[in-house]
Amino acid sequence: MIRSQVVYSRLAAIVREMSDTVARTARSKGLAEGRRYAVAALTGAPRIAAQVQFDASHSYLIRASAAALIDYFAFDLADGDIVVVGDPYSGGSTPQVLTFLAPFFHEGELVLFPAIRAELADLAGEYPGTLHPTASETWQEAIRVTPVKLYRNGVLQRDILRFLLRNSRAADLVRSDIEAIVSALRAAGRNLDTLLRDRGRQAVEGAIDDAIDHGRRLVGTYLSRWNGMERAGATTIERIGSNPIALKLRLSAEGGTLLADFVGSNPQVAEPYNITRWHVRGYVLVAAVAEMLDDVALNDGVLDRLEVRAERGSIVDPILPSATGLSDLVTGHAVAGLVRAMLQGDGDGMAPIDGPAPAIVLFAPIGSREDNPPFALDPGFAISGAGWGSPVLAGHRLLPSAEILEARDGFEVLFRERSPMGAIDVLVRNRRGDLEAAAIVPQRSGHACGALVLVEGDRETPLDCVTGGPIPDGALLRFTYPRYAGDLDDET
Amino acid sequence: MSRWIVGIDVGGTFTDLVAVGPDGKIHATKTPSTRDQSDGVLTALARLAADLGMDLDQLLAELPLIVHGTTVATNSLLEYDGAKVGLITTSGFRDEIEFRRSYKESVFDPRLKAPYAIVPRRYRIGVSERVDHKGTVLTPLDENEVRAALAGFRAEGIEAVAVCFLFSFVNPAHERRVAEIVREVMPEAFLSLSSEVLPEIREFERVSTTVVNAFVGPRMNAYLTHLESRLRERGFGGELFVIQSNGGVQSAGEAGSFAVNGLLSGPAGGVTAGSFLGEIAGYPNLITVDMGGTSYDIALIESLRPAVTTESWIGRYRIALPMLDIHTIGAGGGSIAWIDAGGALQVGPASAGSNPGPACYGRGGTRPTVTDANVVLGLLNPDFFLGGEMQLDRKAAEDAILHEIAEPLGLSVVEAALAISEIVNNNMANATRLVTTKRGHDPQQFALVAAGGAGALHVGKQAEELGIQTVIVPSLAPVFCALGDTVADLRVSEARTHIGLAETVDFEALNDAFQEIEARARQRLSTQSLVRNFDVRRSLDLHYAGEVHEVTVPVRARTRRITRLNLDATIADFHALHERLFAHKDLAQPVEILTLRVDLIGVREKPRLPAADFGDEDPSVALKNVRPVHFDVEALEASVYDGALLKPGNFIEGPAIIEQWGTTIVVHPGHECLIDAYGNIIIEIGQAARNRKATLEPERFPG
Repeated sequence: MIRSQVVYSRLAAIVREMSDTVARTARSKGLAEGRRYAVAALTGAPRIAAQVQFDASHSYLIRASAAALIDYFAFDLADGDIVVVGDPYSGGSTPQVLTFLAPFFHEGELVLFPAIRAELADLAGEYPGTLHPTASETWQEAIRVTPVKLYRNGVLQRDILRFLLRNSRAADLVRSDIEAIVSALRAAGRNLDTLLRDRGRQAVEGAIDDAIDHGRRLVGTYLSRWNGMERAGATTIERIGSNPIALKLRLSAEGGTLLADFVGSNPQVAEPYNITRWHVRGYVLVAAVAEMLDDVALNDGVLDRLEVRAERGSIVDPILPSATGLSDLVTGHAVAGLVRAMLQGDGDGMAPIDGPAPAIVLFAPIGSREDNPPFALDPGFAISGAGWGSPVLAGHRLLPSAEILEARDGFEVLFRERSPMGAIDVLVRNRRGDLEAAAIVPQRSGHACGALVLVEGDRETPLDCVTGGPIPDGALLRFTYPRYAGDLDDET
Repeated sequence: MSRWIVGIDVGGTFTDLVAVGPDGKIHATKTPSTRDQSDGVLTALARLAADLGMDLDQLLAELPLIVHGTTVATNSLLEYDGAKVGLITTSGFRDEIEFRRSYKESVFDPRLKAPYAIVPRRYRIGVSERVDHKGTVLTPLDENEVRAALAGFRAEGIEAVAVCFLFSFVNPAHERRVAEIVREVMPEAFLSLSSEVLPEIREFERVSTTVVNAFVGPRMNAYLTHLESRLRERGFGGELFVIQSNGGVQSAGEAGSFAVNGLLSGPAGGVTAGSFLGEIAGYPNLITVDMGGTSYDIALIESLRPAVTTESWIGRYRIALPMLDIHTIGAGGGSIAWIDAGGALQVGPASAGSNPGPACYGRGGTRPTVTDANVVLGLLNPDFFLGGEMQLDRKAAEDAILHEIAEPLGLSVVEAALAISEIVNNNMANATRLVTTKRGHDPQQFALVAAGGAGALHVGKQAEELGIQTVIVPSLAPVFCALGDTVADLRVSEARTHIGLAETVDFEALNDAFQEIEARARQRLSTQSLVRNFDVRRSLDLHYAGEVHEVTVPVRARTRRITRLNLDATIADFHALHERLFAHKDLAQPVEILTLRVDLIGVREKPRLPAADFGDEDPSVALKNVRPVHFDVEALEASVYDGALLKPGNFIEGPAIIEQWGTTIVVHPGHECLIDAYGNIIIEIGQAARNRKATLEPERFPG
């Protein structure tokens, strides 16, 4: 066991290094500042051997996407290959997210798969970027990248890359990010090679098995506090101008395993609130074990401790062509909030982890130019239910510097402070020229989760749910981020 | 006597002193640290004086220079025991220090607490003023608001005023005007201006560094003034320098004004000593490791230059100044071994500290620690801890390991101790590997230098794990930081943001900016008389346009004027460095300049240590005894040597133990060691180089 721990810690370090490389070299703000990616090493099964993620959503998605790729390329994977998939209906979640898998061979045999799942800046769809709050079907949100080979035997498949770049309004950013991802995967391959030479394949595979067993025991012990629990609950996902979407859940635990049964939830909707089954599972997992996730090696042993049941064609297991673009921004929060509340029951002590916030993506007027990289302007954050910092579900996003926004990006931040209510208020002037925007302010319990307002002179226009709305040069955007905590100790 | 140089490093437990004479002769002494650090400093000096047959006043009167490493600034920040700080900032931005760019140390912990507020919100005042990114004043400074804020500060007993306005690195006029008003109405207040402390873009990084400077400044200033006056009272007529976080030294006055530069004053000496050791021993590429009671510090030295970072967090506050890149993990002699809920053995990061300390200290500790494991394995001699000054309780160590680790895991006590040792070695090796690989290096290209009391116990195994062939245990390992204090050069690191694409740079503006920065650096060193000559190192923070992080690249120019050719060569270096660090480069991508940096180094005369002639290989004169040591489950008979009696040229084959005051050196089976001409112990691991599989390089994307 001790030797296994030693070997496994090397593998975990390789995965962490892969993650650091992406963070430092990705060019898009979504990856470099937003940390909207996850990295992992998977076995051939595929099982997650080790994973690093910065937000809850990825937990099961790398494995599910890898499974789709391995299934598709079952007998056609070779040393030097990198295969890619980006499709909510091939193990994915939201659009514009690609999973890259690099089969790693040792002495001629396929042993592991370094993998990176990352949200790219733009992969077509009706509006630039990842936000389309009124999409009715997935193709409005992005192209579907079903399994393809980007590298074959180490040779770049230029037609595939060209296809991806020609379907992006931010080709330069996408190209740079893919290169950073490929470099990280290749470096991981070299490090894995060193590890296997040092320790031998058997020791590495044994260490992975032991680590997965350890993870299973660790999380099982933690979840066993709810053994015998059977609880039912429900919540709604609110939308502007439509009826709320019902989310029903029966939560039970036995033998240190949690079962989340969403049977009875709303059928899928022709709006982007749908959330794929693997994505749901990630939110349930984080809701259940958030307190221990920073200290536990995230592997299949952890993931195995949680099961989700849902009806095909429902809001939590949609089928084509349902749009899923708001599953991170809205639906995931509702899922996690419901699970958290039900686990707490009548007890006390589980701090909330959810907390939706306004979102806006800006771009040059549609049709005005071929290259139109979107800009996700997110100059503040919601205050978590625990009273400090952003909610857990906001992930590990880096707040943009006001000085960088002005000097480099063309947005002048005039104000960014806590309001008397303790929420973060931000006022930004657009100096980037005439723009358009897609925006949403999530709703909850009959109220908006914050506010986003366009200010032009005396005229104020709420941007609660906007697609392609004009944001003139010189206009102001006023952000009010919600505060989910109770007591306010403002002047200490 | 007049050319003796003294280095004094105050650590958590001991105050170390190294004095180097004009002939290179060295005196070293260790005394317990004291609450008022100046007491320990004077005690150490008195002990040196006694060793030299002098009284303290006589010694101090003849010393030209004392270089001091102190933890006053560090302790002030880590214990949040600093000045009462008020912040004046641009109206609308007083919470940046609290938002901290939404950085959280734990991604998933829903109850992560806010850091201790070193500037509570009620002391953060926004005033009307605004300068844009080109330096144009959009809103003039409202001096009435400034005066009102200061009146409030006076009423609240504020001791230090930090000032940070947006874009003050482009146009510092408003900050300077506030400084004038502060000096007028609060002349006693410590002042910290962001345009002086860190004139670089990114307001959170700037305000955090500036506020920390204000928080620790008065404590550091008071301490250095107090120390200097005590030294002067006893006749000291030389200069008092303080070692800085960038590895250089500065006058006590400068160190007090820019106290934030002293946050790594303690460990910086060890890294500087590593560089000095590498130079005399012929190892330009080194990894220094320092294992103490609670932590393990790792630093990289490449071509005798210690690695520097601007990405430090200390006490949960961001410090964006260039500092030695010292990576710390919670692994020390006092690290506690425990079994997690999944049944796996873990070591650290919790530590038994020094009180109660490890179980074997006999002070009531019952949790098994790394030191307990070393006692059980026979690596540490219970009768020779701190040279015999402290007796260790082997039975208590065995009991702790038996009950907390061995029995739950179904192991023997020795197996459990070996497991503890293996886990902690592995944690340290992984951290060391991370430090080297993140800078694009292979640890096998480096020699490992072990300092600190516990470092030499574990370093051999780590070297094996990392594929490192040479380990150096300095003769002055127990006082290594103090040695570094004696050899460090004066150094000022200055920087200024200067954004622009490399392709379209305005060379006149670039050169003017560099000259301004250099002039400011020279001004800060202008009063120093101990400098032999100056070395100016210019560098650029570069990144591909759009990247969030920068890479610092030395400027390739032989003259003070940078030309297109110079810049192109520097950009070529950037591409190469980017590829080394991150495994790819992008020649088609525009490169952006973000920050200009100047390091002005006042080169001091270095002590010349005399090299002794090599004597006999036979170390038997130093042989103390032979004792069983568990390098594995079965014990081996290991020769135990008295380190004080070993001579240059002595050769020892493992298994062996070398016991010195303050440290124990383990020579594992299969390792061998030689005492070099300076008394350093050079351990050769002799591990065969690994064959690396040739891997497929990614084909570059079309541009």
